[in-house]
Amino acid sequence: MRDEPTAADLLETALAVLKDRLLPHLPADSRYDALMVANAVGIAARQVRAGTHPEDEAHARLSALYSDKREPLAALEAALAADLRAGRFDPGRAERAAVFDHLWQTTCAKLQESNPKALSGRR
Amino acid sequence: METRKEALEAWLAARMGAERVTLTALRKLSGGAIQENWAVDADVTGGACAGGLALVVRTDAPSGVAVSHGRAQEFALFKAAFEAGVTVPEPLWLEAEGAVLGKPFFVMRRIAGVAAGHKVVKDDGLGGGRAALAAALGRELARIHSITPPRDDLGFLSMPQGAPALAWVAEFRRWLDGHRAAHPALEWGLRWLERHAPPRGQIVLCHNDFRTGNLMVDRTGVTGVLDWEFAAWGDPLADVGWFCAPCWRFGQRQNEAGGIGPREAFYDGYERESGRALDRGQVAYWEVMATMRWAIIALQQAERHVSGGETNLELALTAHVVPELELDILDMTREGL
Repeated sequence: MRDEPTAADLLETALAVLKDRLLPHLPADSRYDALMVANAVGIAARQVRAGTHPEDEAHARLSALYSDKREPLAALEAALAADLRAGRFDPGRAERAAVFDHLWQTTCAKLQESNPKALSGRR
Repeated sequence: METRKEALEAWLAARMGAERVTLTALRKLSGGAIQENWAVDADVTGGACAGGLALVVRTDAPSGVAVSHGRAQEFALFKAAFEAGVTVPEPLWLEAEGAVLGKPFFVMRRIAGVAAGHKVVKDDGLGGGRAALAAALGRELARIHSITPPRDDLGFLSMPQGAPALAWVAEFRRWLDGHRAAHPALEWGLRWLERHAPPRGQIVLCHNDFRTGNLMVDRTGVTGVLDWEFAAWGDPLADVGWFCAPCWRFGQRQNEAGGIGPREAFYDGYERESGRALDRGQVAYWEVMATMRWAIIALQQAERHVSGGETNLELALTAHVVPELELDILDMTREGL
């Protein structure tokens, strides 16, 4: 139905025009707004590019951790949050390393979209 | 403000005991989602203030957040800080009734300098050099912490029940419980903060937003500690952790004192002024707490855009600082892995 280019390509192309051709000509008092727009468009482009992949991965990891549950990602995240608070993954617990690995990977995937520069050198 | 100029002139003249006050310039200062700040130049005829005065009129912005102190309370805080020797703009007069501008305000002397975090961390010429500026900021914080309860004039400040650290943990969990989505990485950090919480110790006035970006400086040193709206009684190390946390270094992560200078210079300034040793072993704990607190505040700010009816790109983007904070928290709380 849709003709190419679609969302990610459009956002990336528009971002390049904003950064390379518009920003240099903007007066100083508009620069901050324009940089915020560039930041927002960049985040949106990376989210579209990543699609559902990060959530699918997180869901697979949590489904392995909670092998007795077959629930959507949000429900599994709520269960994980409650279990963390109740101390079920405190030091000495068997699944602690797997939980940390899941949190680290999930957070890296979010950071890859929100601020990829901050991710470099942190893995 | 412009429409109330004459009322403000008459009110200021009465405060100063002047024959006449003429406001020659009114300029709204940028920043401040909670307050409005107006730079005001006053031409004064007669009385003790005769001549020119550079002032700031501080009043409420259209939408303030709930944790913010009222202007009368903030005036009391500025007065307490000024009297304790903290470098703050001198608070002059308070109008608490709303009879002049339609809302309460106070007037303080205007200070000059640079506060913007990304500028302060990059300009080595500010504050007499990196180490000197870090030490000067340590002295400022020690003076703030010299203010201790009980204080009748500061009775409005909140006092934590039990251990201050556990009070924060409980507050953050309450907020997360009311949020539509779970935040497992923050829960990981909160559990660590709960398990390692220091007991209640000495309680002092905490600024609670003492960080690069809220500290005005010039070539010679500190010109003003700003943004007191989160001040409360608490553990002094909470402020030390907030200032030193990785998230407030504005990209200069190697300069562990606020992105400005070496951590030891900041500690040294604090210790010389306070005459007390800082418990260095506890600072790391309070840096995790600081990172957590900023993550929660960032989510709260984003929420104003998402569901609070305030469509605003800056608030919206604040949600996207959270993943880096979560990664910092995870990084600082690897234990038993």
